[in-house]
Amino acid sequence: MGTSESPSFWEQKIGLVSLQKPAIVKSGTSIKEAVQLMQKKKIGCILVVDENENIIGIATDGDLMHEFVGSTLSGDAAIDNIMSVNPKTADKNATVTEIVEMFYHNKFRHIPVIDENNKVIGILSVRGLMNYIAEHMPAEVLNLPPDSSIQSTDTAGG
Amino acid sequence: MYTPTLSDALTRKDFISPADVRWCPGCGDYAILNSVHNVLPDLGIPKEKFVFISGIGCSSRFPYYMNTYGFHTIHGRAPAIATGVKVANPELSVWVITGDGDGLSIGGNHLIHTLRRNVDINIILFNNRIYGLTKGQYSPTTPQGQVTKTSPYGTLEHEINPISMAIASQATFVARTIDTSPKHMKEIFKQAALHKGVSFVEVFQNCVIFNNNAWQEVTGRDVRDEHLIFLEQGKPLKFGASANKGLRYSGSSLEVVKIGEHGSTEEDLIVHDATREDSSYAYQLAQLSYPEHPIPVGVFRAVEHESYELLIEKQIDAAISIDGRRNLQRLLKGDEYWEISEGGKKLNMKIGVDSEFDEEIMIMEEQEKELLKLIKDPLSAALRMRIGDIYHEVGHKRASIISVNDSLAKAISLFKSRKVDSMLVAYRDKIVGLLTERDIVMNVVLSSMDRDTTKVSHVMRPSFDLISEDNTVGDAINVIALSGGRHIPIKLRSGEYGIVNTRQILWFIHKKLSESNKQKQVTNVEE
Repeated sequence: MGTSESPSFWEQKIGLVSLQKPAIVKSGTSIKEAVQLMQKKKIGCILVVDENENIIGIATDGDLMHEFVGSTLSGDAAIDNIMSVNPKTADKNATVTEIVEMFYHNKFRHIPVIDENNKVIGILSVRGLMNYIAEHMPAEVLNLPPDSSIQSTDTAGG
Repeated sequence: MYTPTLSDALTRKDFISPADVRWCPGCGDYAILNSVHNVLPDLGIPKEKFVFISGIGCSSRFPYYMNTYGFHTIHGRAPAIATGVKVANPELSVWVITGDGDGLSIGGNHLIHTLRRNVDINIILFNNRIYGLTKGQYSPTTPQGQVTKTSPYGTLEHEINPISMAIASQATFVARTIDTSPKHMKEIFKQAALHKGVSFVEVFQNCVIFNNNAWQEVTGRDVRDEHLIFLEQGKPLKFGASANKGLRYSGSSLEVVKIGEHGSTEEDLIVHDATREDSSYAYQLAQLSYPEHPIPVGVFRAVEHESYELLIEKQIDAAISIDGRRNLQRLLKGDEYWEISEGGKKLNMKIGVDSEFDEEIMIMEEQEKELLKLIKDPLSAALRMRIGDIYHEVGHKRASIISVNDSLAKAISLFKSRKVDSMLVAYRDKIVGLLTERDIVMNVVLSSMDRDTTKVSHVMRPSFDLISEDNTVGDAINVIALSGGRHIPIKLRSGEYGIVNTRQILWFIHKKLSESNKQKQVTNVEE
């Protein structure tokens, strides 16, 4: 990727991409409370930390869907029951290319971004990255003329 | 041989829009709308060539109710916008829908100038003599003395006669009709549409809420025959329940006579001719007022003058044939201009534009270069590829579809068994929404809703844009960026639906970029 001329874009540090504010709960928090926080922060994942603020797990919409909904677990059970432990994190100096590779090789779609002190500075999602591309390439993505082949499913006007 | 065309098959149904009509029950606007729906299929014009343009007011909601192109514009300015539409697209059938407030007060100026320019558009002015949308203030056509919300002691103003104004503005087709006679309306609208040049039609329209029975004394079924006179080309000006009255000249003015009385015969009556070039006869008709005279309805004036948009076209062609195509830079600089030197100390006068130094061409070449550069950029190229390529290369999963009426429990079991993270929601044959893992999780975990009785329609995200597999990757990202979702449903050529998600799009872009970089490296080595 390094030889590409114009997309210096791919070499940019992900710290520059606007990250989502993380939702963080302490280990032992109930699933219900965790989901409430996710909804409040409008984010599809939650980080679980131990008493020293170290990240010990991550739980996502997918985890909740497959591990919790339809299971025998109660909403008061600890989030620890369904989280994925020791999630991968990304260094804030990683490049966009490196993150794309990371998303490419792993099935997760959220990654916590950490600074030099291992502190979480935000969450980068596949969608966030996509939006970054959209903003970077307005001519191809945003500033398009109205396309008659795109059908709206609701009726305008009236 | 007769070949059927699209317009042959059009019926009034084709012009009815699915939007709910929001006029008061009993409003005269409904009848006008119906008549327009009835006229359009008869004109032999393809549906996509119609445009309805309106300003502001009750009547101006009209474009929503027409299944044609439409533009609900700014107060009083519909004639100006319609002029632009017609001049730029002379092949369109352009209709302006306005009212007595919008057309004669707020946009009076625009109306006059559009009429005098003779732009080939059809203007229908709904005259209910009141501001209905704003709940009953007097308008330019409210009769002097009428008590309204803004004239508690009666208006002091003389009203405008729209027909007189149109004739004075040199309109080439001027007519009047009434909302209580659909047959007459249809006939008049048809003539207006067929007229080459500007057509102005005033419709006596009743506002059932704020000015009820505004025209009752002339258009009421019981009095209509006595108080209206129907203008018919080539026929004597006759009226009355038993057609025993008529209009004749008395000196230079019009007078009402009873046929058979005082020796007057039918031969004395004026034979209507709307095609008189001199507009004074039409003007005299327009001045007839109730109760002294019958009120004329029908075509007052219909003369052929060359229309504005054709004159413009001719003028441009003529100018090009003499002077050739010229550019804007040249025009702006003119034959001589001053150039201020650095620091502004010295003025140099330049004469003419060096023919070799054509700035506009240079700018265009520059832009072209930029464009080429953009197309060669691998990321840009990837964004211009078809979204269908991603679907077939990476995803290739037909979308799971669930009905709006299915239960949440069913949705959950489908999510688990099919291992999908989103589904399309359908109502009958139509896709109406998207259901994602998150929608389920947020609703199930945080509320005590019953999974067996709660319907999918309750938790889904309604309405999003459906793109086809031939749209670009850029289009797809655009829809995702705007919708806030992570999935994009695409309509496949087979008629089925597929889903592509952001991760797949990212994979695809990544792949295309790696390929292009590898190619580049190979080329570099070869060099």
